[in-house]
Amino acid sequence: MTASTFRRYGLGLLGLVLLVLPSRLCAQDYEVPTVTDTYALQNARVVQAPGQVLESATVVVRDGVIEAVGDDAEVPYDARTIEADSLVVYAGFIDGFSHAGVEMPDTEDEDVEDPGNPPPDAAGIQPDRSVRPFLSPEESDLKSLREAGFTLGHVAPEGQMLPGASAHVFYGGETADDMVLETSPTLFAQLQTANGYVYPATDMAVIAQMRQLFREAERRQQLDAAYERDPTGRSQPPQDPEHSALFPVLDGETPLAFYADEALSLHRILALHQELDFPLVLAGLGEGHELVSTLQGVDAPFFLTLDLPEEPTRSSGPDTTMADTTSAPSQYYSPEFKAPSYETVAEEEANLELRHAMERQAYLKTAATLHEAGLTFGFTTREADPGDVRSTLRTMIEQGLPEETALAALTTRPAAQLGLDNRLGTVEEGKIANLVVTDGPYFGEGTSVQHVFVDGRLYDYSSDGGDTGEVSGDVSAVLGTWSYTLETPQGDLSGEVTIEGGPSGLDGTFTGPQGDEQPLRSVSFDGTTLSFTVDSPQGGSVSVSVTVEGDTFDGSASTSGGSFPISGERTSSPNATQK
Amino acid sequence: MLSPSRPRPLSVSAGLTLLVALLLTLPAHAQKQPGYQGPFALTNAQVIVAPGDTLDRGTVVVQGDSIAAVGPDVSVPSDAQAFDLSGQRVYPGFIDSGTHLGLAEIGSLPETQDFNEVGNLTAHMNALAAVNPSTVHVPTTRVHGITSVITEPENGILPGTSALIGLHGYTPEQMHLGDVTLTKLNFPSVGRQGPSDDRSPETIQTEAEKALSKLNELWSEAKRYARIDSAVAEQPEARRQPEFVPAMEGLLPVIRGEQPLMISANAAADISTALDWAEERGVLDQVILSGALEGWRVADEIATADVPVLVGSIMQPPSRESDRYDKAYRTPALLHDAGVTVALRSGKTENVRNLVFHAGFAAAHGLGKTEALRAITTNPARIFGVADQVGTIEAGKRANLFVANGDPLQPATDVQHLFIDGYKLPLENRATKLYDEFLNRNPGLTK
Repeated sequence: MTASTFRRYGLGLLGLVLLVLPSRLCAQDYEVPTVTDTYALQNARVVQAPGQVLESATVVVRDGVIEAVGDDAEVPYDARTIEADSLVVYAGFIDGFSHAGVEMPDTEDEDVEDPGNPPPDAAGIQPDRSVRPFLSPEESDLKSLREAGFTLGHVAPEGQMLPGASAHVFYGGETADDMVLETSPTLFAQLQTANGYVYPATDMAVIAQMRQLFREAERRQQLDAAYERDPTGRSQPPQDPEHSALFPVLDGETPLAFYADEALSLHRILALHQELDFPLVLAGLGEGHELVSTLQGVDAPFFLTLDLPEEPTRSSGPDTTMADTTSAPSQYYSPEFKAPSYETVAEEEANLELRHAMERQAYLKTAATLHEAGLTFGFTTREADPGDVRSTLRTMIEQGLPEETALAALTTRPAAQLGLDNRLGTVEEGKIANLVVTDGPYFGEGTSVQHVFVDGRLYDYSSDGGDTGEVSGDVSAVLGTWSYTLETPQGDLSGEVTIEGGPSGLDGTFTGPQGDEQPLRSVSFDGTTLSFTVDSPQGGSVSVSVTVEGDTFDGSASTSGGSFPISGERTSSPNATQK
Repeated sequence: MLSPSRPRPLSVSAGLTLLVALLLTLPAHAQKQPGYQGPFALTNAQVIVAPGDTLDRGTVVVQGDSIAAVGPDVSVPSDAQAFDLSGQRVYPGFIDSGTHLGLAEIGSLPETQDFNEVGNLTAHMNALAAVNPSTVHVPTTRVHGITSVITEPENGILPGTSALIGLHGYTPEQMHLGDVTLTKLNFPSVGRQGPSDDRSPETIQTEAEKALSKLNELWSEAKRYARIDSAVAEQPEARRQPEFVPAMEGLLPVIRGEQPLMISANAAADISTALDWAEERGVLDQVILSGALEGWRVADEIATADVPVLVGSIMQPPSRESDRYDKAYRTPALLHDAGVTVALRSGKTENVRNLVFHAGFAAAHGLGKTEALRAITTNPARIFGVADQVGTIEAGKRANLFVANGDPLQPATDVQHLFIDGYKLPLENRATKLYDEFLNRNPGLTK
């Protein structure tokens, strides 16, 4: 076996190691079948819609639909009852735009014969594709977003300028078919150049190409109409799927859903929108605060990104410089400041950090800024880390976005913007049973999501609480990236482990030999011994327990198939290396 | 389980032709005569009415499918076929409390293994449905006086139901004895599984906790299914049937307390966990423990729980290297001494007949002859709730009995006659046919 095939099949081997002795595993590796699709959440605090709260009510879910909500709702004979006295029920969150659940096939770079005039797919022009064949309920972002409370999204395929038609996708289900609520509500578009040295390779070409596609589609529509009126004496109109797919856009029936964060791209898209006059959905808007007045004149649903700039790290540790947003700032960035000599470099540095903080501040405030300007928007998770969604929302609220507006932007507003408000967005009788059940106010610091219902299907997270390990001792001894070598009877497997967090708790990721990433569970550290568990994608789990000494560790990885020695070495730590 | 690679049966006409050809050309190789019912009178025999209750010289009268009379001065009906059995003994038919008999034919041919269904939750599989009444292993088993066995499915956590079958009949239903059906649960392993199990203690613990919580979840779902099912039965018009979940449907009789739960567990930790588990779920009185090779370590616990045990196979080395060589042989005795009701199981397919030697080993290793006999007659009959039908030679019971020329637990003893449900069955089988042929080889091995 060569090194490269090892890399390719390495993780499979790990899975094999886990499955060598299936008889031991079989006792636990099975799905307990669900015996009923009827649920009753009893005595819960129900936030039916932003600002509309029932203090103690029962929510009955049956066959994927909310059957009853109210303090007098009867618990049906076939219900699985969930005692929800201390729980809060929200409508399931709606993701305005994402690629959750999408697994695009690996494309191999093919040589394009004439890069100046490439075939449509090489140019990234694939509006005839649908996201449907690329959906998988097992995709990891989908699962993480669901755990954060998202139950449905406006999901598009990945690609370049015109990657294909989107779908309204449930963030749950057993099969890809379960996931689809509606197909082709929009066509996804972005100012994205083609892969490789192929036309369109610049933004100007992408925009020119859009314009060209529209013009040609329009022409073909006219030819089609004329031919239909009277085919005699006319040649058949030209046909191809790329142009035909644009007809509903020209007819004003299907919007183009653009994603862009940068202010310049947003301006370009809006200019194109004005020129070609297509129905628009605009997602991203990361620099939306820069063009508030422009956006006020645009008639389109907006979805604001849930990705915020991270705090920069400095050689001295994390930069905690805060922008002073009071009316009379005690310190402020001076654009004129110049360090007159090397002795005042520190002043220049402080000035620069203050500038960074102010700049960041504008981004953190974007949601509030848009809200204050009277713009309504939902959210998009496309660029967001699913695990950070709640803290991002908290930041937005701290920066002035009203809590009710934040909740509306997760529920009622996207439902209306996507044309789904007759079925989604609130906890009301007759709506689709998409629910988020938390153990406190969703935006509260210590709150965790207990249950998520997606199309009436229950995902239970209430027992996940015990998944955090105990941490004591100096965590800096383990933080960072480690390379590991696992000795198995089939040969050595190696990859990386990243440990993150702090004294309050550790987490991290385990990168398999194949590059496949798995989150660490139950990470605990007592100053010398580090232990954690990793679930294998093939089923089963690996428990790793190692002794850390300086920048190396040694220990064992146990699976149900036996224990294997594992050793590792720290390749980078947050203190030693900078991004 | 019909595996796709199994050869299709011959077409009916081809089968008939073959059958006719066989009948015409090979009469000597076919079973000489089928079983037939009496009346029979077994006279002048020593009658082991029940273990510990011997009639030194008596007569047993078999009429129809049952025992008409037993005693020293029983009159022989005039139409009865009488056997003078001076110097011979009549025993109640033996019961093996755990086999794959009828579910497997040839060990090396996976196509003939019908006790291993794929999947973990197959509680709705009934072993009885797969029993092949004409398996060659049934006649081979009968030669040692075994007249009934439990035949059980194997794979997964809930492999299905086991059935008690009599070893005569041409359909599974004819063979089913007393409608005895037991739901089997392979209890998940919670401890170290042997010397080759090198998992770390933490791994063992987390995996055990996971397995148990999964089982608990399964059980509460099954209870919920039963509750919904009952609710629908109350108002069938107003309420709708729950979605059919076969495994849950299979568990209904257990949840409702109508069917015993046969829990298979061997390690001491598994047995105690299983008993606690069953008590918490209120099903302890339905539990029958099967396997229990380390049962002697927790014998008092089992006795306190008042759970009967189907022990075996005891013909194996002890589970831990530190144990005495004879711990497995001694397990039935140790359990019995603690006050546990013990029955024996061979756990075999082709060698179920060796049950008598298992009993012999148990007898020699502390259990004693009488208790060893009970472990293959009256005890299993009581455990399976058919003590009114089998297990002893008493008037009114099914005529399941056999005649031997000595102690049937001894290898040198031969069984002379055997009756199941009053049918006197020929004792020839594949092994005796081969024996006869090769004893009289012609032309022999002269060249």
